[in-house]
Amino acid sequence: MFFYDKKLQYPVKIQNTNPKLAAIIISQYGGPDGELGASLRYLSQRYAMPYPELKGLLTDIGTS
Amino acid sequence: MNTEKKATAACPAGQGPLPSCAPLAVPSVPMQQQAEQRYSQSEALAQGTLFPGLNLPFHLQVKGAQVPRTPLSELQALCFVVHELGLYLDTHPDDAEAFQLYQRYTVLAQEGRSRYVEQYGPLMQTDAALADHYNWLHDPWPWDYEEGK
Repeated sequence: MFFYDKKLQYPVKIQNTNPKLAAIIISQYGGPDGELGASLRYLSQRYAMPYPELKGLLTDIGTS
Repeated sequence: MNTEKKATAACPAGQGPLPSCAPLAVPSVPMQQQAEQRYSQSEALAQGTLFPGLNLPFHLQVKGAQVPRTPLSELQALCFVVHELGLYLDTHPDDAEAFQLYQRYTVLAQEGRSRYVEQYGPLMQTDAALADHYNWLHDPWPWDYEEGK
């Protein structure tokens, strides 16, 4: 269960938009090797984790 | 990944212990030790990590970002430290000193949040219950240019 925090984790104020940089950042999130996929894998794999101390770690890293 | 072993001798800053004998062909990762050095709140947010030992940018010449001091960035720094300590405690649950720090910082973060919410508006949907009207839907949202920055 997740809560939405109405603030960014890090302060960001865009001075000039940069579509090329945006494309690179989006590519880091999406696709087979992307961060978003990794997060979802952590969150789905924690259910099969045999070491109890690591279930929490997978949950917290997936949440990050 | 080998499970953590208690260090018999302290390693220098920025290093962690490895087992002296380990199973053949199994890689081992040096883990953070207890009582690691830590950045200050604002420095941690600027560097992207609470621990100087883990500040390993891809190109080693990178300087930390300049984070302007606003009430929001103070709260972001506080919450970031809480989060980093939580991740550290996930792998070092018996580190009493870190746990005490975690308790202190969580209280500070809670207080920081209440003060921020009073002045600037809700951070979680349930904060809207504290106002005199349902203010959750008000602009700006974090991806709009947040006021005060």
